[in-house]
Parts: sequence; C-alpha cells; structure tokens
Amino acid sequence: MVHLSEVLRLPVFDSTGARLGRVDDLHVDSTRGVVDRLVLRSRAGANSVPWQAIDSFSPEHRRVGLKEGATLEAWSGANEEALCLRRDVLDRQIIDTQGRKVVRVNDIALESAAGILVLRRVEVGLAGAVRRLLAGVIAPRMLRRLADGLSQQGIPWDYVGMVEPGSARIRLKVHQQLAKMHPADLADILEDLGRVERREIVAALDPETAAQALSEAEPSVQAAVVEAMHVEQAADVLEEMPPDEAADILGDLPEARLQAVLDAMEEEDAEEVRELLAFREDSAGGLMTSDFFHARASWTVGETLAMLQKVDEDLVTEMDEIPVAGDDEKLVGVVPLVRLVRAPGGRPVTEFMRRDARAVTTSTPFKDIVERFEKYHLRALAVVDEFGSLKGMINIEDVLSRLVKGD
Amino acid sequence: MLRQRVAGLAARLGMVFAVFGPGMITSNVDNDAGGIYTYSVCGARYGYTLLWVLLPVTVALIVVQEMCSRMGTVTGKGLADLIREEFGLRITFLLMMLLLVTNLGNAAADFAGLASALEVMGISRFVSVPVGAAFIWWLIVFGTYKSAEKIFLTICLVYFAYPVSAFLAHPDWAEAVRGTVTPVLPTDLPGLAMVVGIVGTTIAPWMQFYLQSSVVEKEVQIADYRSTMWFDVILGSVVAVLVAFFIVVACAATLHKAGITEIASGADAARALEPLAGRAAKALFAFGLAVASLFAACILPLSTAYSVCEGLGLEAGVNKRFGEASEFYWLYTAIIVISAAMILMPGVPLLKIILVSQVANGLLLPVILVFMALLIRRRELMGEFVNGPVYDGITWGTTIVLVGLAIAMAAFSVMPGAAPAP
Repeated sequence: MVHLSEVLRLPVFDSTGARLGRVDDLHVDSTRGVVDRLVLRSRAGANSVPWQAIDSFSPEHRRVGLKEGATLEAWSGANEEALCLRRDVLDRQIIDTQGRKVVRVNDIALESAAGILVLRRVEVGLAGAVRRLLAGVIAPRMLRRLADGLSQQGIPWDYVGMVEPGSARIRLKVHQQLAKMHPADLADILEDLGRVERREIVAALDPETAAQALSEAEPSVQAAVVEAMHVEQAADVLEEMPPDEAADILGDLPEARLQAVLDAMEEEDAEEVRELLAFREDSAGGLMTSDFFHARASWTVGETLAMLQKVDEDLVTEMDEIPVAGDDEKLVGVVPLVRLVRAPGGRPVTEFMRRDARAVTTSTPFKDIVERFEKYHLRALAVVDEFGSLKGMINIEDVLSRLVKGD
Repeated sequence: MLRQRVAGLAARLGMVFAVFGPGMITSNVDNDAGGIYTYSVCGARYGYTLLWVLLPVTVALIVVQEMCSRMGTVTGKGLADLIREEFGLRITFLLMMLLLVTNLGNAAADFAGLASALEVMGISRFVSVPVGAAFIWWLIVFGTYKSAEKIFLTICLVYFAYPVSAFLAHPDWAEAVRGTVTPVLPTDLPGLAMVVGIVGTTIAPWMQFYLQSSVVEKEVQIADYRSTMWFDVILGSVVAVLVAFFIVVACAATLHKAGITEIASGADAARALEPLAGRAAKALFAFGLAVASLFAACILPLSTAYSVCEGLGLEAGVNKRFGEASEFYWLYTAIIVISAAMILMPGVPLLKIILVSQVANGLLLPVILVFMALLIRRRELMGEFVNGPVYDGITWGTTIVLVGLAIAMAAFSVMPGAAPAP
C-alpha cells in the first residue's frame, strides 16, 4: 500500500538520471479507479506524463524514474473532466456513501500492482493526518510504523461520493450511489455540507430524489438549500414535492426569490402553492396539502375502487378514510377504506360513508387540529373552506413533523 | 398553576433571546473573566489614559466579526474548515496548535476568574475549580447546554451594573473624554502589553471561530444577511465595547482615584461597584464574575475542540456518541482538566494568568487576521461578497499595528533593565 502523502513531492528523474521536477499530482481515470497520468512540477512549469511511461516508482527509495523516450506534455490542469487526487480530493469533503456521512480526506491509499496504481481508499482518521503532517519530516519507514499503530479509518474508493463532481462520469457515479440512500440520510448529508457543495449535490440528483431528501431536512436547511440552487432547478425540485411542503419552504424565502421560483414552476403547481401560501402557516390551510384523492357522491363503490387503483400512490398513502364530495365540491362525508373494500361493487358509495366527516376549516388553528387527531385517533383529516367546499387533507405525518419541529 | 406561570415566564424570556443573534451572544461571552480583569486593571493602573484604545478596537471588532459572519453565510463553512481547504493540512495544524495553546490559557483564565470570584466569598479555589470543571463537563456531555445558555446570558446582564456604578462614582468626565480622544502610546513593556491585552481580550481569536460556526449552524440566508446580521454584529460589538468603557471608567473613578493602582484580587476589583452596590459590591461582583467565567469556560473548550477537530478532519460534535468522535471528547476533556489543573498548582497568581492569556490573544490575532483577509478576497469562495478596499484596509491596518506592537514588546522585553511583563 502506498499513500498519496508519500508520493507527493517525490523527485522525478528521466532515464539518463537528470532531474525533471517533483510529483505535483496524480490524475485518475475515474471509471476504472486507476492512476493514468503523473503531474510533475519544476521551476519551468507543470508537465504530465502517462503512467505507462514510468519505469520505476518507489516511495521507499524516494524517487520516480521515467522510461527512455518518455515525453513530457505541458499541463494546464484547467480541464473540467480531469480528476486529480491532490487538487480535487485531498483536504476536501467527501460523502462516505456506505457510512452515510460527510468526512474530510486526510490521505489517500493506493495499491501498486502489475505496473498500475489502483485507488484503494481515502483515509479520514488520525493515522492519515499524522502521515500527512510528518511526511518529509521523519524517515518514511519510521512514519509508516508510527501511522500503522494509530486507528485507521478508511473509506473504500467505491463508496466515495465526490461533493463537487467535476466530470460527467463522476456525476453519474455519485448520482447512482446517492439515489440508493434513504432520503433521511441524504438530508443529514445536505445539512453537513457547505453552500456550494449543497448546490452541486442537489444538481447531481434527479428532481424527485432531491425533493424527497429536502422534505426530510430541517426547515432552516430547506430554505438555505433552495436559496443556494439555481431558480430553474429549485422550481423542478419543488414541483416534485407535495404542495404544502413546497409552500412551507417557499414561505421562508425572501419575497423576490419566492416570486422568481414560483414563476419558473409549472403553472398548475405554482397556482396550488400560491393558494397555500395565502394561509397562515399555523392554520389548517397552511398545513394541508391540496394534492389528494377524493370520491364523488355520484360514484359507485366499484368506480371508486377503480379510481383508487389508478391514481398515484402518493395521493392516498395515509388515507384510511376517503373524503366524498358532491358535484358542487361540497364535502358530504367520508368513507372508511375497509368498509369500501368490503362493500358490493354496484352500490352507491354514499351508502357506506359517515356523514360526520369531522372536518376542520382552513382557518382552524394548529392546536385544535392536534386535539382532533388525538380525540378521534385520526390518520388523515379533511379541510373545508367557510362554505363547506373540500379544500385539502392533513395527514398525521404533517401534524407529527410540525409538532417535532415546533419546539 | 405555578407550572403554567413558570412556562409563561420561560416563553417570554425565549422571546427576548430570539432577537439575540450570534453576534450578540458572541459579544456577551466576550466579557468573561479575561475581559473584566483586563479592563479593571487598565482603569486602576492607567486611569482614563488608555480609553482611546477602545475607539479603533470598536471599528476593528465590527469589521472582523462582520467578515466572519459573511464568510459563514456565503460559504456555509466554519473558519477552520475554510483554512484547511485553502491552505492544506500542515498550515492548519500549526494554526490549530497555536489556537489550542492560547485557548488553554483562556480557559485557565476563566477558571482563574471563577476561583477569584468565589474566593471573595471565602470559598477556596480547591473547591470551586474542581466543582466548576466537573459541572461544565457534565453540562456539555450529558446536560442540555442550550437551556443553560439562556440562564447564563440573563445573569451576564449583571455587567450592566458597571455603567450605573461608573455614573454614581462621579468620574471626571472631562478627563475621560480627553483620554478617549488623545492617543498616547505607553513606552514601557507593561503599558504596551496592556494595549495588546485590551485588543486581544476584546477581539479574541477563538471568538471568530465560534462566531462563524454559530452563523453556519444557524443557516443564515444571504438575503437575511444584509438586513439582520449586519445589525446584530454592530449592536453586539458596540454593546461589548461600551461595557468595557464603563468598566475602565468605574475603576478609574474609584480605584485609581483612591491611589490603588494594582489589583491583587477579586476583592480589589469589586470596589469599582461600591458606588452602586455599597457593601453588596463584593457579592454582586463575585456572582457576576463567577457566572460569566462558567459561561465562557463552557463555550471555550467546546469551541476549541470543535475547531481543532474540524481543521484536522476528525469527527466532532456533542450530538455524536463517544465512540464516533472519541478524539473530540478526549480533547474537550483534556482542555478542561489541564486548564483547571493549571489554576490549582500551588502559588499560582490568578490575575497574572488572566492578563498574560489576554496578551497571548492579542499576539495570535494578527495571524488569524492574515488568514481571514486572504480567504475573504478569494472570488471563487466569496463570489460578489469579497472584501472591498475599506475592509481590506482596516483588516491589514489592524494586522500591521498588532505586529508592530508585538515587535515593540519583544524589543522592550530583551532590553536591559526592562520591567517584567504584567
């Protein structure tokens, strides 16, 4: 095992023994996780050689030798697609996608096998820090013995998620790994990152995954993330969220930003959010979602069940009672899901519903909503306006998270 | 019934502290044992003559704290994090070691403050310091620091007794104004050290790390930054320096006037509150100082351990379990144990420790300022929020003046026959 700390600053010689400079960086082929170029720096500037041109590579003897006829190419380093270990990975924050947390890279372990140098893991613990600090200060052999005695904390390269994915390929890799994570873990990671890194990570995710992760984050973090994103991107992500959550986040943004994001959203989604934004945040109107399933009083049991099977599952997750509305959109009652399933398909749905829907109005304060949930053991509650028209639903989930975040 | 009343009171207190931003809290912690004693000694020893130092210090304090909150807001990262990313591990490590040593002194100063406060009340330091240290350790590791913070902040308002006392002491206001507007630099080592100490205690390096982390944790948005944070920083800085001003004036009008130019113990320093509190001055002083010391002694080891771990890429945070962040907890514990032990060594002069630690702050400050100035000019980090010429001028100006003072101190201390440091 070789460490990046031992490789950096090693002198590089050509085949005649003339000194060319010192190792400045290692360029990586990120799909294979293999070092493919060596960047060296001398007073004249930076150059690079392909890894195949390296004849001897021995940190123990503190030298790198090039093969005969190896040619140096000028190195600008400005290439966006390039991944360089010292420049892009060392000292940076990365995501440990297995341990699901953000860590800082102290050193990088590589393995030299059959003439190629393979990336093994990034080191995040004390051992890596000590190796970095004392590299070039005490003898390499002593340093190895010292560092090996300390606690080793490494993350295998396959589980490293780059926070600022420069190249498209890394972006893809990061995306695949992050999309597999639980949204709550992803939210914790977002909370740990800086402003730019958050924007990069959210940009690497598809809007749906980003929306799920954002839903799980603290309210202050949600607003900060949306503030850091590009307007178009923020709009895409917010469209994927339930309108009530999107409204809560947008409500914390400054007015100008709020309008810009709303303008960039699809007209239909933006309209729903606008309506919700008009309600006080601690009232039923501010808490409810306007995106939900309801039955019509004219439907039969069979029609209702058929519709239930067709709609998006998100719209019915917490609903153990389905609200029923007349053609004038007025709430006429709720039908328990269990009763609906057991009822004969041809009968009208209104026969099986309970007329007292226990609904609240949009202006009902949060305290009363909690009491109602507790009193009737509800999982979902219908919300109507002052004329009795069905406006939205409040899930137990919305109530719980407000209760938890409330203090 | 009673429970409801208590809850109501707590809610109202909560309202008051809701407007306390990171800037206000940081400035409040600023008036810890180091601050109180440094300002007291300044007033007792030099009367009104060094009051002028507070004017440039106010400007520098505002600028430095604003820079920290701006960096925290724009990058979403702590100061140690940024230094690590931009300057590498080795420089960060050296800087963190300097910070650690200086902060050990500061933590010791806070335990010294606690010891001296309770000695006024006749409680031995061999009781107060171990009990205080154990309490702090428990509070952070097992307790609920957040609720304790509000109690601390409330009791710190005791320091508003100083302005009242200063007025009641009938100071020579003409003399005070003259001292505030005529800069006269002392030309001996203790005098120069006093100036550096005043700067170091008011703009303590550790507080910049603490402030920036608080801003990051608070998730301040850039849009809010310009309106509220700016105000918070200015108000906090001005209040901190005003309290300092009145401590100096109160001490000058009582101690210095009575010919007491050396403060040997908390009992001496407490005399500055006699015009207000009479016989209760000692109790008032002791109570306020003890709480302020405990408060700072809570935050300081925590902030230090946090900065060091952050800079070195080690897991940190009180919400992590011991096994997850063992280095953090060991470091935190070691800082408390070592600094408390320093105070318990036989024959340790409490006040000297306090003053020397504040001078050390003043010597570390220019180093931190250089890093801050270099970071905040990077457009790739700060975007449009890089420093303007006025800010740059003030930052570099402060740095150069402090380096000049440090060189002058070094020159005086090697000169034959120079007086020992304070």
